[in-house]
Amino acid sequence: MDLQTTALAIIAVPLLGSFLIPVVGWMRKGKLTGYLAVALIGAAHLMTWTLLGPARAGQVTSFKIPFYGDLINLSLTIDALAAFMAFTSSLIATLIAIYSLGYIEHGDHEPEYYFIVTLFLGAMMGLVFSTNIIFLYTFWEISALACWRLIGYFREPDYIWKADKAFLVTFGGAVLMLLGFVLVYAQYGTFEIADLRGKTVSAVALVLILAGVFSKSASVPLHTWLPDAGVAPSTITSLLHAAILVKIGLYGFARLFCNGLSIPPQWHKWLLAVALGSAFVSACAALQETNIKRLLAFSTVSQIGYTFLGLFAFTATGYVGALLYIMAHGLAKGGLFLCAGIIEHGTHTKDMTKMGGLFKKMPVTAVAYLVCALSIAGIPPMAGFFSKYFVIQGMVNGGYHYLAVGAILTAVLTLLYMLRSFHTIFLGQPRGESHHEGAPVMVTVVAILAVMTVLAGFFLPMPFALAKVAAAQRTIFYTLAGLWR
Amino acid sequence: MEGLVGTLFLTPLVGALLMPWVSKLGRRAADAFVTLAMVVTVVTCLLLLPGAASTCTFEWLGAHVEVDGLSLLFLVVVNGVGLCCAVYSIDYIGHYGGRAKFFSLLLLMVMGLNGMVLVRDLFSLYLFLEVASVAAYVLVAYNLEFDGIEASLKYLLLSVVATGMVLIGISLILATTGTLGFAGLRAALAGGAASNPVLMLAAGLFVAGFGLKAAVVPFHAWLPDAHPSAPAPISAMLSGVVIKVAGVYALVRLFFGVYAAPPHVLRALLILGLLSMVVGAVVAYFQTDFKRLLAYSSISQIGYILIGLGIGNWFGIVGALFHVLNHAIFKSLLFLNSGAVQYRTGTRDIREMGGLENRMRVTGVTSVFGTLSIAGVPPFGGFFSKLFIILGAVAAKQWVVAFLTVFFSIFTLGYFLYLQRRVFFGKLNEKWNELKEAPAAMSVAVVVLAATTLLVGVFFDSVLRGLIEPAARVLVGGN
Repeated sequence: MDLQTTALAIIAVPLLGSFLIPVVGWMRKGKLTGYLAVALIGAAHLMTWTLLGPARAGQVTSFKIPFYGDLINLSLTIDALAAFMAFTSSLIATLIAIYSLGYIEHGDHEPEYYFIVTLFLGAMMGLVFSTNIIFLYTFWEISALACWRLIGYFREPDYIWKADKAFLVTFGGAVLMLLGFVLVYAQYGTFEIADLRGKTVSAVALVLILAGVFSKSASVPLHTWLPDAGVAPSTITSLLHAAILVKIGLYGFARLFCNGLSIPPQWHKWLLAVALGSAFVSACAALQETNIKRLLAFSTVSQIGYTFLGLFAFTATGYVGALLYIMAHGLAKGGLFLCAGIIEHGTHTKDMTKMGGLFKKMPVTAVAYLVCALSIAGIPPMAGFFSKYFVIQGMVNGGYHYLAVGAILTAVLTLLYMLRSFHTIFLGQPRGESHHEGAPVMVTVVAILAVMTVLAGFFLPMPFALAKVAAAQRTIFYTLAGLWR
Repeated sequence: MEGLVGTLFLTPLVGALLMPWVSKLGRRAADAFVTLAMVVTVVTCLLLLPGAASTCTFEWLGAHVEVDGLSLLFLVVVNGVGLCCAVYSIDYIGHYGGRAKFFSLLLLMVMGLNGMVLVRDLFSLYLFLEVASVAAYVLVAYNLEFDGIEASLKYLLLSVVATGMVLIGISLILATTGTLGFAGLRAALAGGAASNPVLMLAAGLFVAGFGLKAAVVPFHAWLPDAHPSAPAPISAMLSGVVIKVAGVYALVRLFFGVYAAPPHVLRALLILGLLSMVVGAVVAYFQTDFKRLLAYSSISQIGYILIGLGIGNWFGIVGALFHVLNHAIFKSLLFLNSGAVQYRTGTRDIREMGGLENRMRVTGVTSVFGTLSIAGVPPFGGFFSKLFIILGAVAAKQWVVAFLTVFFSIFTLGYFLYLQRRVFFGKLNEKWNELKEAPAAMSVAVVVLAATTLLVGVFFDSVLRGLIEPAARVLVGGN
């Protein structure tokens, strides 16, 4: 298969294949739906492997399937950024889908769950390859509606309200972003990101588009839906935080403003300040949370802020850091939420103050949790350390020394709340009863994620090489000190 | 071509006239007959489709009949939605009784609407408007309960004011120009329309009269009563089709085809559209009656259509016409959903519902399609029409309009999510444990509409090229 067919297949297999799942569900073969979902998502992931080689060689393949005149065409681009994102997201999503087999109870809503998870991944795959803004937006919104159904999965009244909130906030941000896109269209007459390369974005359009990016990526002050989304099944929170949803905003920014439009330099430090504020404030919020899933959610908001720091520095090092951060955070946070799922299954609570001493009962989960938590906090040799280092280095290279100090301070806070949560949950005297380790498939997946977190640190040169190619493919905004700062 | 056009008049008319006799053969015969009649008209529309870009004109019974892109768009909407409503009625109308009367009136309404979009002079337009309206008044009161009759009377009285204004407008035009045919009028009005106060008075009367028929704020008072009280397929026809043909189509045909889009009329349409969009959405938010909420949302969506027309550039007009099609599909879908819920639960009060998707899976899933389409979530059809309206507003540098249009689509999603939350999504209300899915014919109709709203979005390019652009070209050509 050539690259074009592969890319189309990566999108079509989960996106169109997902519609088989409700059909299988109607045939009262509920149990099969899970395996079908794993097969579809896994197939998409395996196909992304074939993109890595050409992408690392710096090959960029673009092609266009004409739809409606010059306005809306399905343009797909396979470059290092797209390959990196597709690979990372589908990898984590595959693991989460496997974990779901042990986690989701067989019942009425099981086919719907697997249907929407697969559709969700399909939308993500469509998003990472699309370089027409309208198609990008379409996939962006499919992910929002998938997220709506999944957050309300347990159907409790206030859960549904929180699902609605997530949908409304992200949809609201997205339509404002759409208005921003239309303003860009009015200015430059195209929806093709390739044709917008290097064009300066107007201030109003920038603010509108950022509303969409920040609402999707749950940055302060548009973040409140994300902690609330913790009412979803743990697999879904894991999917939202690690593999797909909040990464969409980051990816969207990277695609639109690092590989397309350019932001005038006077905006850069304000963007950095916003991202740092988001990272810091949510780290403080995480410090005083006692609900394990809300703590992890605030931690995600903080780490997303960190990733934005890397992107907003607009240096090659910062960009590499941001991409590595997306991978490292995806692996580690995916692992943490899945650990939280095992803990919640075992203890029937999300309140950390009611846990304690779980280390003996759940040794594998405990170790995996610790490894992932340390990676998030940025302790070497875990992958999280290197990504954090590159982000801070990128900020320093960009000349933002004071803000870099703030970033380091945030990292200290992260270590603090991560270790505190580990301590409260796993160490000390046991409280409550009926603890048991999770189902084998669940524990295995968690262990795999923890091992990968460590391996990603040891074998960093591999993702690093790809991220470096992606950084070289960016639009170069202003040629102060050349490409590699 | 003439034969096909004649079929569009005659099939529903003959069907309506023969229905009482056919129904004597039994229930199934009446069902089959109404379905057959509507299938014939839909097929006729589809046969006309390939010629969308060209026009066909001829004289028939002294009236000037013409098919162009614009007529075709509205014909597809009328007959497509009409077919779905007719199929839906097969199971739905059982508990009202009077099957033959109902089908006759439905076919008569379709005939009136088809006539309206095919004729090319003001008098015939008015005539067919009244044919459709009279059928609609009776159908609104069909349940013969107090609120239905009250609503019907309100609809009738306000409509009489509207048609009165239209009739005065027609007289003024006839007195001034001596002709009522669109072609003749266009020639007579060319150049002099803006300066002649009598003709502008007539234009004002048309805006108010047809605006009332389209239920544009502040002329909307009848709609929130009439649409909920009618039987569900009739609500779907009224909201999906009648207000568009009797209101929007007439406005478009007159002001773009005859009056050559005078700027102050466009501004009036824009302001009325904004007003409708805002008021309809805000009031819808406070409704607890399922169908009343949908009725107010129709007002809001008609606002979107008028905004697109009022902007008046290519994108705006394409968006408005596309929204006519989309709104017809998703709003009739939602009304049919509400009918299915009412059919099973016997109530329209959304506070008493909850978690109905657990028992009515088809209704629940299709209503999600309708919700997403009306809110403008891609890839559903509603997104693309709203996108074009926003593109038009920005291209015309109407920043406030663009922002409000965007903002109120968030609002629309807000109240439809509220509806979903209270009615379908969630834990089942104990009260409805024994609930069953709606009967087969009703489910088939909603599934077809739901699939259409998705397919129109996915294949938006073909729909735009095949149906919407020819219609828009008629308007811009007349500009």
